[in-house]
Amino acid sequence: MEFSADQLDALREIVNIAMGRAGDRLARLLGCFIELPVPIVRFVDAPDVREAIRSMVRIDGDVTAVRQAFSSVAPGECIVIYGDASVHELGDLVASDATEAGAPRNEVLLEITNLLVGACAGGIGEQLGQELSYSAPSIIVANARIDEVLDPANVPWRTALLLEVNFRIEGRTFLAHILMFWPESAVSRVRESLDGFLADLG
Amino acid sequence: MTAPVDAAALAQLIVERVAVGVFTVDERCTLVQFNRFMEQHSGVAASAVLGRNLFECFPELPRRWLEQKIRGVFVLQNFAFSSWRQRPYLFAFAHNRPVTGSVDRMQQDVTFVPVKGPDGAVIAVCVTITDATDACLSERASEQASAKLREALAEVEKLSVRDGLTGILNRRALDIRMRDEFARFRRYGSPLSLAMLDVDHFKRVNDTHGHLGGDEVLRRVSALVAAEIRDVDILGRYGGEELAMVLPAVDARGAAVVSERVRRVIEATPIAFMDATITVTVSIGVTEARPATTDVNGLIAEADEALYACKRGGRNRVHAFGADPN
Repeated sequence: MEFSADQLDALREIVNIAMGRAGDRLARLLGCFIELPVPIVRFVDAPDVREAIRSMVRIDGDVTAVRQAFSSVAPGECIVIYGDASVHELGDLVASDATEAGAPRNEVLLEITNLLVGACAGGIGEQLGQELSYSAPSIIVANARIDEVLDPANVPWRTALLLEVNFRIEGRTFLAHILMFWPESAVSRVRESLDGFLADLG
Repeated sequence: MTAPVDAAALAQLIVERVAVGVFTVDERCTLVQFNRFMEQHSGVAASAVLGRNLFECFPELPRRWLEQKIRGVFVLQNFAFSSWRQRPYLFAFAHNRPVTGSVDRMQQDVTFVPVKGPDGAVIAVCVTITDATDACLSERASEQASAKLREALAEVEKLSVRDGLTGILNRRALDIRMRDEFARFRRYGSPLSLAMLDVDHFKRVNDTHGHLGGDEVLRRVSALVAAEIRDVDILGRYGGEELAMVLPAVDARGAAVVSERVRRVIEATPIAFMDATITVTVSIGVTEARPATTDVNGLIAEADEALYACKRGGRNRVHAFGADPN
């Protein structure tokens, strides 16, 4: 399951470039400065996933989590976690119906998630020369404790590759935690893609 | 010998025949493709709409929302979605359950797919419409069942704690609360009083007005007592015509005052039943928990003894345990 040092480096570089591009695109779209700090890449075993999420996300209060699957050669799934405060700020971020003040909260959440996942996952796919397809986003939990997002007893994988990116808008409290998972069944394909990327470089 | 399958023709056939609405628009929302599912459900032929503006052909569509969704795909070069949960439908199509379906229209999941040209830019948006009516109905049925279950559980909980006739606490709940309050008295020493109330000559009420009359008397007496006590006081049905008032942080004198108020109100309030008016009185035995009180049963025994003294003394009165009968 492990990646070689080269492969890990390649993955980090790809992710950095991808997130940089994603940040630019989102900034242009939303008309504000986006902060996308350096993503964290790690492998996680199913029993540890709750702790991993808790330590990455660090939200005490209630959260709402939206999931969306993506696929090209390596199928994975994004979970985007929003804290309470962020959910309240959503209304003005995406004009989903220009005249209707306060579009339904769920609709806005799903749109923002689609935006973020498309930018981040799509950005990585772009670096790897792959065209991605996506499933419709859906809400996993709303106004729940962070531990309710994933139940380690109920996931179809034992180990996963996990990438965490925090999406922040300058001058606002809005913060979305983007967790990208590739289950072990997909990891070998990710590794192949990385090898392809490395081969193209050198 | 069969002719080789033409891949392009096959793809065309599939798009035409698949049980999914598929139509495609260019950047000006001109229809460039419109499959059979769309024809059949809209009642409009492809030949009548191809090359024309989507909104001219279908003016009932939510134009502002849909234009924005489509434009988003061109700008972001990415998929967009709409679920039946957010927006029940895009096109007002009839669903395929004309007899059993309880929604008025087909519930729809909509996907907006970017179609890229040779240079990688998005040149068209392909919109797919999937019938989600079954999923919607199934989810609704499940929600209704859950709601019924929750109601039933609330009912069960109420029944397990409340007396069915009067609505005050039943004996079981009363015993638990008395035990708790007594334990608190033991631990912290704050005052605790118990008043046992018994409806005078209740058998006579039943004999005169029937059991339904007796029931009404118990209901009204319980309500009258409840109105005189505080929120923190505990009122329950101890036995057939016997009520218990548990009064935390109240001493014997305070309990006697409350009880006397209750007695007076009941004496003064006639109870309407059918064509008759029933007047009843109550006897109330009062006691206070003391260091010597061993347990709850001891407390109840004292209140009972005080109650018995009321009966011997002529009824319609309050008597405190250990006091001189007057």
